[in-house]
Amino acid sequence: MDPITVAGLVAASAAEILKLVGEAVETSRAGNESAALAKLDQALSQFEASIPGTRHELDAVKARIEQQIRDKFPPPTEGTPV
Amino acid sequence: VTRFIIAWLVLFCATACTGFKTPAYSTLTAMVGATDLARQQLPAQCEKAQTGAVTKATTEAEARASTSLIQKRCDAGLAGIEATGQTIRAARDGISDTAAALNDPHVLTWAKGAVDAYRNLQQLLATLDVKLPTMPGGT
Repeated sequence: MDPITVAGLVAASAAEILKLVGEAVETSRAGNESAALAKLDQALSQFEASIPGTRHELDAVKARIEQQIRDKFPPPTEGTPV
Repeated sequence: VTRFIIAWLVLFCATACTGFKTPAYSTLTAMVGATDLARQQLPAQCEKAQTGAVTKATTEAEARASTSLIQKRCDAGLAGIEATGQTIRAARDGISDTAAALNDPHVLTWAKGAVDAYRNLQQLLATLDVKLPTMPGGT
């Protein structure tokens, strides 16, 4: 599509102007949509890929908490009065 | 000059008055970002809550009971975070596949699903002191 210029618009007929404007809107809309969609797809992919790592982190937390409980409440050793 | 002004009025109205997909994609991107922040905070908050419970407990049984409850909430939190991501992806696919305007009832249903998932997650994470920002886009 030819770029819209002031001189071009003044010279063009009303129907031509509407056609040019329609094309410009469609181009701009398609460009914005495609950029926004690409950004969303990238964010979603990164987010989804990070879930297993977070699950491992929660497992590690579970193990550390278990250790804290064992340290605070050690099992009674032989000969120790319960 | 008059035709030039009319042309730009038409251009302005076409841009401002019709429903485009771009704002929906931007809102969903913001929701992914906020949900991802919650995901990053979750393990540290879970550890903090459980460490506090162990410190407070006077018996092993008490420590195990309270940490187990917190662990269940943490697992549910991560499941909710994952589910929110899936709902956002479903909304993205739904919006992308339709040529309809954004006031199409189907598009609204997909968007509502993502918003509901986000709000449910917000309530769940609040019990773990993980603060999910207000719904992006202010809806």
